[in-house]
Amino acid sequence: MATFEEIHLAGRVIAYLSNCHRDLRVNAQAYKDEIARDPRRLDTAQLGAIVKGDAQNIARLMTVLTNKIVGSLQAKLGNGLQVYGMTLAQANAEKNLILNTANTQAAADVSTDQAITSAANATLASMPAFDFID
Amino acid sequence: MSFGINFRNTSGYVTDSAGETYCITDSYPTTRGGITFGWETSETGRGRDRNSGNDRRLAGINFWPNNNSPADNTFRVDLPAPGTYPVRLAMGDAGSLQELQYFQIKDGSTVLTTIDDTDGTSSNNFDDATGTMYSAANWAASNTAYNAVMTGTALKILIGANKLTGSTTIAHLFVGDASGGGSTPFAAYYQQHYRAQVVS
Repeated sequence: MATFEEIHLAGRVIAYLSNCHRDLRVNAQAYKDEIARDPRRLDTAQLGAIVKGDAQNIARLMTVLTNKIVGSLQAKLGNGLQVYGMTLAQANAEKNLILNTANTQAAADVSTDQAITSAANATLASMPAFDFID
Repeated sequence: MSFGINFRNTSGYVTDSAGETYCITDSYPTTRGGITFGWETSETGRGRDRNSGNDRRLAGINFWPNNNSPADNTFRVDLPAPGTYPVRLAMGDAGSLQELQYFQIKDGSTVLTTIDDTDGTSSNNFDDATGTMYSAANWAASNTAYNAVMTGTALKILIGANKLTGSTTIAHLFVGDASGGGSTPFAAYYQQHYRAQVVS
């Protein structure tokens, strides 16, 4: 039976994964909405910096999670995730999906509105639609 | 990179300026506008849209009741690196007086400064990061920044205290560009930690 600590750790991992999954999708749509906005709130350079900044932040969070999922907390997380009907492999697969998508977005060309739109579309294509309850 | 976060209940209630995003009781980690932030305990149901005619930074609030259990909630924002960051706050409520504003600025778990404003804020008045109250009309031009000497990258704003009725209310957080890189000027470090001890 999982301990309270293990359930808590697993809950935090699920929160990190679900929030980042949601944010990649919501933000990608927001970048496209900003480009379509008239008048614009952000110019292309400002928006491009945010596209990269968001992706870099999410990649950093996934790196933190990597250290937990495959590091010293692995056994505790494995026990805690079982309560949610999840395995470490499932959590790791979701983490890798988010990390790879974030890294791709962080490295994307964001020098023009067209390039930002392409980067956003790539993120939306990579990340499955995701219902979220806060 | 400087940035501002405007707290309210509905994203489209007012329009944020460039370099700003909104917090509609989002939990940590939320990534938006190039920054990662959020409440460490659920803030669901604790956002309000107050006055769209105010400066956008003072239009709404997130809040934590001062007689709640747990006694407080902590807003976290991830900074790019350690350094000294000017932090500006608007702690108040465009729609109501608040009997007590209790908040701390923290470097991770380390308290940098505590504001225990026991006479609270009048309606549509806001405490700045040093605890000085200004009207909504005067806050933008008059508020004073607190220079947060960050040895880590998790800047935290704790709000709420188990003292009185009413709520501690946050309308706006601004974090300016870092100075000093990863080093901590001794005088600034000493001054801030000495001051924190005196206040608490």
